[in-house]
Amino acid sequence: MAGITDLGVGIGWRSEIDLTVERLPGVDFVEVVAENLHIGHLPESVTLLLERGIPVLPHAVSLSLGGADPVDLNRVEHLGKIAEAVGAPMVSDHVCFVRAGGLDSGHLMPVPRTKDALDVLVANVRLAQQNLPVPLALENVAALLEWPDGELTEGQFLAELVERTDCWLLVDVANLYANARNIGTDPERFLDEIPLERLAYVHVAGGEQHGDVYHDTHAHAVLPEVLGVLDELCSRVTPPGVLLERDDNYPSDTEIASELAAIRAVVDKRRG
Amino acid sequence: MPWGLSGPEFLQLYWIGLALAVLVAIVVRVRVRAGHSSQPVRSLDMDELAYLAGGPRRVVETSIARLLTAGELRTSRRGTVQVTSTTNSLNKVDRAVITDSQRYTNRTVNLMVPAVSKDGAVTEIGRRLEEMGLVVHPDVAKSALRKGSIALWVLLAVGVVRLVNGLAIGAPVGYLALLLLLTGAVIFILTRRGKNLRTRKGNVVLSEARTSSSSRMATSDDALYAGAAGLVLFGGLAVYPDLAVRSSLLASSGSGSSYSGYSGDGGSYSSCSSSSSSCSSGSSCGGGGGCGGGCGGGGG
Repeated sequence: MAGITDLGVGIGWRSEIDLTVERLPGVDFVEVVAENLHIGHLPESVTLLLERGIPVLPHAVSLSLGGADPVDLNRVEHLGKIAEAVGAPMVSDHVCFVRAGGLDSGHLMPVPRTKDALDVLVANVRLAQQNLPVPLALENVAALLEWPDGELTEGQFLAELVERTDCWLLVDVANLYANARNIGTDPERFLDEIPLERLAYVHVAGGEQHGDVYHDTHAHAVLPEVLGVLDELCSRVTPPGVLLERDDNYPSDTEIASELAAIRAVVDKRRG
Repeated sequence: MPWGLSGPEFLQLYWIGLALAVLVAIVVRVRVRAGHSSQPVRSLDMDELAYLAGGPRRVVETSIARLLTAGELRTSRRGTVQVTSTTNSLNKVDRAVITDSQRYTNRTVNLMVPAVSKDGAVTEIGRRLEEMGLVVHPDVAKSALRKGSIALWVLLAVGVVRLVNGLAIGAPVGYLALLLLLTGAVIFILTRRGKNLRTRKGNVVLSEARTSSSSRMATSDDALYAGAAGLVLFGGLAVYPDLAVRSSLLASSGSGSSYSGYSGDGGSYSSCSSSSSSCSSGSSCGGGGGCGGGCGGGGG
């Protein structure tokens, strides 16, 4: 499969900040949460961005690909239709499960990193891929705990996932930082182990230290340490795209613009 | 000849009575407008001037414009406003607007403006302006106008009695009936008032501020009444210079012209100033509904 087009620097489109996203300088692409969009009536703002030629990438949160149940094809179909509606080059979801035994956790739960769990994940990813019109990228999540008896590191786990499904990777550097802080994993080792040539794009987000735990809130400023992980990544590969996720407690337009500029500075430093 | 007066004689007296009563009502009306304070007028701050220009609602609208420009408030295409995490303003009205929008997740200006208008931060401004003799409290104006129209009401009552009596004895009452209708119309006109009332001094202060603000905006960087808030101050949110923001704000509130202002005797002013540096993009000015005649060209 050919490489992913150069996306540049982007931001997660949210209806609360639609006017802001439209007007921010230096937004090369946006991401929409697929579950929040409906076929047939895209938000006016998204249509406007598409008319300007800004790529819009659907990002799903509910496929639950790491779950033991087979993937819900209705959700896959919706994701695919959104991708077609916005003419997206790819779609994404997470390496996680959000429901089990008919219950919805409301959280992106990490998958146990065992061979068995990987088999289940691979089966679900393949099924999803067969039913999607565009390539699928999968994102590493932030974990507050680790399942016992892990046989692989997160990097190895994702590397094998890519090898077996030919999926793309969406690397969330804030989640890498969160895992380093909370469960002591090593972001550099992760970056060493994953196939960087399959990198689709990168997520950057803000969070907050709460006692001993770092929360990946998407509602606070991006920490310099997270940009540090991005810098580490950029030292190994030029990411096709980097996207800022902000989901709540939105700051002023000026502050959002400066966060985007800081991200661009890191990317450009390594590139130039 | 009831009451010892022939029909024409009664009508003649009624005309004289009507003229006198109208004179009294007009004098009272003018005196209400005149204001009683002899305090010299200090220069007004933006909120006070907004109150003078458009009453409590305009104060809130101006604050909204100020917060939008400062990035402390944001609107979305859904027509709701929300505070950003960047709230620094210490202005009392701004704080009231911020508190209001934090209280509700999907707050429209349509609901926010009347709610915050009743806040102490806003009514306090009205009191200050009353003390300076620039506006008249609505209740004061109401009772003064009522007293001023007493003579008219008495006249009307006498006329009605005469009419009833005339009908009873089969006398012609056509002219009298017309005259009574005229009296009713005069009472209606002379006791009618705006919701808020500027004094003559208030009108002078406002028109001076308007003149100086447009000249200042064209010439210097004096920011007192400048920017989007400076425009909104005189014209309401319907003249917010940024088209996309304006449409989203007003989308939820029916027509932009629903923002009633003060009743002053100066007639309606052109609500847009000649030029403004507040437009965030050149193309966002002018055109668009709601704005009285389009706003001045974009600054840049």
